[in-house]
Amino acid sequence: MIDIEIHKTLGSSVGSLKLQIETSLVQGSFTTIFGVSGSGKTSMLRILAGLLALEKGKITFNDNVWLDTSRNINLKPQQRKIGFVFQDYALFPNMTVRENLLYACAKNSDRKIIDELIEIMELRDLQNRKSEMLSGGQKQRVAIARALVNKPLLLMLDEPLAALDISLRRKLQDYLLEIHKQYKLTTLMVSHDASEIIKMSERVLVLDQGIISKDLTPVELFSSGEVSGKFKFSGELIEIVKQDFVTILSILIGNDLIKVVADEEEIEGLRIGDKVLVASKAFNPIIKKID
Amino acid sequence: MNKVEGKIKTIQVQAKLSLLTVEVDTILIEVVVIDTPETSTYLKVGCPIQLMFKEIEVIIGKGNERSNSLENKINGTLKSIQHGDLFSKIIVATAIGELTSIISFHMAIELELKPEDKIMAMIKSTDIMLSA
Amino acid sequence: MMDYAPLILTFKLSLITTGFLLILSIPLAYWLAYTKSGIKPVVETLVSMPLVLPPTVLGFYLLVSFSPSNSFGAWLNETFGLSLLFSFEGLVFASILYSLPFMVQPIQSGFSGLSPSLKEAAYVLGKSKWNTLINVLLPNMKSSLLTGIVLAFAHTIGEFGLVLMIGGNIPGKTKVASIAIYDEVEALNYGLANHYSLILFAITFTILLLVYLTNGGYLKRFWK
Repeated sequence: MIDIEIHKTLGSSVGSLKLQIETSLVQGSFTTIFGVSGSGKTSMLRILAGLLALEKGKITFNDNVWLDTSRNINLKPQQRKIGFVFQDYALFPNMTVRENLLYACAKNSDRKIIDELIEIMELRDLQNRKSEMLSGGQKQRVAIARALVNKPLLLMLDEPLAALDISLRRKLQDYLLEIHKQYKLTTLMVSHDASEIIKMSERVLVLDQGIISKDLTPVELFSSGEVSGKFKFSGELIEIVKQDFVTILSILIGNDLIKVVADEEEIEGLRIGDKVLVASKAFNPIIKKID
Repeated sequence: MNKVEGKIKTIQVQAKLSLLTVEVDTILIEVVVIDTPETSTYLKVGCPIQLMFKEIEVIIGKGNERSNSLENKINGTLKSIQHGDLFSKIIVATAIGELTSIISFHMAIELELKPEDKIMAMIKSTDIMLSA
Repeated sequence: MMDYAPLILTFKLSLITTGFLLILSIPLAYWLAYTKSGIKPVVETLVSMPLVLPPTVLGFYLLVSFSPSNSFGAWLNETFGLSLLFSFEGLVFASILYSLPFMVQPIQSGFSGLSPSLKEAAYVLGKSKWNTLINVLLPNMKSSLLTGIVLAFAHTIGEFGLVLMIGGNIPGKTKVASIAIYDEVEALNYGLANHYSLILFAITFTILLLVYLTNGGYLKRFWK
């Protein structure tokens, strides 16, 4: 069990943000932090990792106190036994893939895990390449493997898959899930992608202006509330064409362009570039397998 | 989009589907959703709810013909009709409020629709969406 | 007759200066790159002063403070038996000050140019600051280190005013190549002055060219 209590004022270009978080994570759970940019997600991870100092707070991992400002305890990142996957991967460019993992490996610890991780993440053919020579997805796999070398108590991933294309992302999600289960990790991930969140995590913390505004399951987050339509996507409005009493809207969802018929009243206030929710009852769509 | 407010009167659940009847000003509207009281907290008898359905989904019948499979049939008076090149837009005054329907222009001509006509607005139960 | 002693002395001075500077500049540049301290601008300014100050100004103050009649100079002499005036040690000390920005600035921008997550990633993996510096930071800023080393070396070769002020012109001790050239010109030995000058020109040109070739990756491409 990780108990977290964070109070921190973050300064930014658009003003200050008060981060006030109180929650706990069950060991072995997979939790996603969700929220708009600037809501404090990355800062929360950095505080947990000990990379960002704070005014007041307490973090305990089981009976292990990582941070307690009232008792002047603040373990360094080195002492917290965590895994952190950075948004920019942060692989060491002077080392090969294998060397990155070897360097990460603590002294006197079993090096068998390196081969194991190389196997799971399918890095065998890449292991002697310098990390600069890798593609984004490959770097990502190395970064995840490297974060796991010391069997961390807590694995944190800061939007790890955001920069990758969809098919690669799916594959990495599978890797990550497999590893999460195999090493019985407690995992905390920042993500924006609904399908990813639903697939990976059992719990979502919605951060809004520095506080947890919602604490719920992914299914609750993405299917409750506004409309009951089961056929629901968010996308970007690309084109508006009026015809008679109806208007044809072109909306980009992921990589697919779809068209939706809307009426005058529905498009009021809509402009090109807006983010929109497209919802329909699930009774109409037809399904065809793509080869 | 047509929106009407009502209250859930009955809920019949089968596996992941629910058949609801929603009371809107004494008129009962039938709705089928892929949700159950377990997955959606607002699926409760007595719960106020908004029904939404697109204009295109509102079917217009003349007179009082009831022999078809559409679950929801609401009597009303044609309040106004506007014609475009392909479509006609009809506003019907009913007991649950004004409903808007968009039908093809040539059907509007064929049915000789004009204001003050007694007509029936019909909506399939699977075309209605709920909003809590 | 050409005397090679001034040339040898020049390279000895440059080599020793560069060595000390490297040891001194890495921690200083590290501090400058990562500190949030309020005195950073002051330190940065002090480090950069030799870039804009006439060498004679620096030389003048060193001359005054090294002088045995001054309390600092007297203290140095009494405690360490060190006389920095008109001595090789004094030249090394002065050169370190004088070439400091040429070493510190490239290394500092090398540190700043590294993604902060590199350092953080190493910390999270349990690596100490020292371990991170040696194994992660420095190996990933080799070109900055090389630039710093070479600029400091070449700049020390080229120093003149400062040496003249505090080193004087003692053959084998403080008479470096740049002074020798000045001497020969004064004595109207243009041929000899030209010799020294050509050698200095050729060597510094070669060194700088090698740096640009290396940092530009030309050599790597050539070898492949």
